[in-house]
Amino acid sequence: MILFFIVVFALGVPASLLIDRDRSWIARVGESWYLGAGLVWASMMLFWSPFPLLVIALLLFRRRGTTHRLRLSVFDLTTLITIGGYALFATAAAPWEFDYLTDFGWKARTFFERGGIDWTFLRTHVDALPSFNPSYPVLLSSLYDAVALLSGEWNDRFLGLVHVAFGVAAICVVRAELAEESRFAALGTAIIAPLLLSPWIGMGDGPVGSLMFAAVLRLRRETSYAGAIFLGLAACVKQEGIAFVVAVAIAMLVTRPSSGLRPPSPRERGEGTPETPLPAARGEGGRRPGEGRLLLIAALIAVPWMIAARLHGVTGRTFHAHIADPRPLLGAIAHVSIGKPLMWSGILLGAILCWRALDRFLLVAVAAQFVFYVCAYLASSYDAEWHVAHSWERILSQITPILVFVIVSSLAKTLARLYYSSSTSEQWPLHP
Amino acid sequence: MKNATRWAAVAALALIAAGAFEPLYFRIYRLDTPAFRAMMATRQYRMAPGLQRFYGDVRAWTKPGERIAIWPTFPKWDEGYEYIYARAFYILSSREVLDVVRAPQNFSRADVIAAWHAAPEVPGFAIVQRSADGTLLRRVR
Repeated sequence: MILFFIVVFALGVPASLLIDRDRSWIARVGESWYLGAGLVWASMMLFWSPFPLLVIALLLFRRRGTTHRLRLSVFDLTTLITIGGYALFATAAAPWEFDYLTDFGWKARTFFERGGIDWTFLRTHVDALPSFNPSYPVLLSSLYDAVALLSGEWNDRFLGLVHVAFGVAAICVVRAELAEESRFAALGTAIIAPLLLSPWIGMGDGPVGSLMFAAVLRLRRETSYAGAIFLGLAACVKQEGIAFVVAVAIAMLVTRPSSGLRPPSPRERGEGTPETPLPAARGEGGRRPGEGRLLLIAALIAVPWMIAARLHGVTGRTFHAHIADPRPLLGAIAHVSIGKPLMWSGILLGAILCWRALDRFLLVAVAAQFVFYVCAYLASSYDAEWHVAHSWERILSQITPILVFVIVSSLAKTLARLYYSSSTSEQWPLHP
Repeated sequence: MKNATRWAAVAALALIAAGAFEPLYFRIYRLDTPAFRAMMATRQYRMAPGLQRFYGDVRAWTKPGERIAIWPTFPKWDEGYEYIYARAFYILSSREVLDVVRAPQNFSRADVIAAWHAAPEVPGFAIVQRSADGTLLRRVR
């Protein structure tokens, strides 16, 4: 397991330096995990070993970067304690979720024992179990396989650490992003952190939610290659990630109609006039790709698996059951508990208070994804009540952190403006 | 007005923090005992005591590629059989796991029968392995 993390970061750090030379160290840690995990997955797909790309990465990438210092606060300790507790929880036993036993883990173990992606196995087990989705991308299963290959045997005891890493990576990214815009970064991170630590160990929801979260946080203010890559990687974990690429495209079109999906203008690229100079695009040496190009990058990462699956005759099930009569589904959704009523009350209050300042791009992306979820339920052939009861909370956990981030970051900015405009920071004994 | 906004914002943050807070990740520092870990390790099998251990034995008794029929200790799909059948796949990976409730004809394809909490007499099969949790029958002709 230790060797696995060394390999992931040995791949991820050079890739992170190549893409973003200028990041805070905490963002570098999180983003290196995502990029390293993506490269391990690519290497597994191409060579069924994590080493070939590692050799290439170490030979080719010798780029040095700069890292910003980050001021830590007492609230970071709360986040660390939360992460520690989550790590204990996630590694209490081998992944125990049903979908691990009948999908993600089953695929990984079978591929490991058969020495590669077994297309025949995927093709012939479409109807084995309702929870088995042969056409799902296999990034997560491939990471499990990389762990097994590096340790020389199938040992699932500490595979939960992969899920811890995805949660921590998202926390690192949100900590870095909040630090750039608010003095309440540590407090905001401590609030959001539990939502980024998915309790469904062995399922794809934690990793896909983590990647979706990191992707839109990087894409909300700037056109970022890293954000596009995270978006593409999300599409390699679960089908919801594929839908999220479309949701982000919709958000770009709706909230940035002036730029649409075209490449940025010279001014947008950071080439401002001498009178009104604009800061260069953060961390990418002033080169900013167009949003259309970013979506193309995300699609290029996601599409090879779909093509390969199609070429090997691996298809998903055909769903269409509730489209004709959506009432049972809508009834089931109306009756399912939304969970965390305090949090939703806070979100509502925060949205009212900061309505003008809310990040429209993130809100539209979340709303579009929510619509896709409902459409997926509409197309499901399972009993609506059963399906909603067994997956609603888990599915929503993929987008809830983004929504909470929108509100918390707006509230933090509002509070900072109110406090620091009328008082001095000395009145705050704890730097939040 | 400014003061009201300030307190409302603090209240909103406090509500979100309280709602998002996950007490388990704090309580676990006390909970994390061998008993807790054992409970988590058997969590998916708690309705069928010994099933996880039995499938581990079956894995050791069989070879990759063999076709294993899961004996209907629970004769109905929705009343227990699906539970024990679905949990066989992961532990018995690289073997073909056969359902004999929805497709009884699968008995004719099976190399072995894994019978949890049962020792059935099946024509053409003989019990070749036995444990406290069940038996393994292998085709004899």
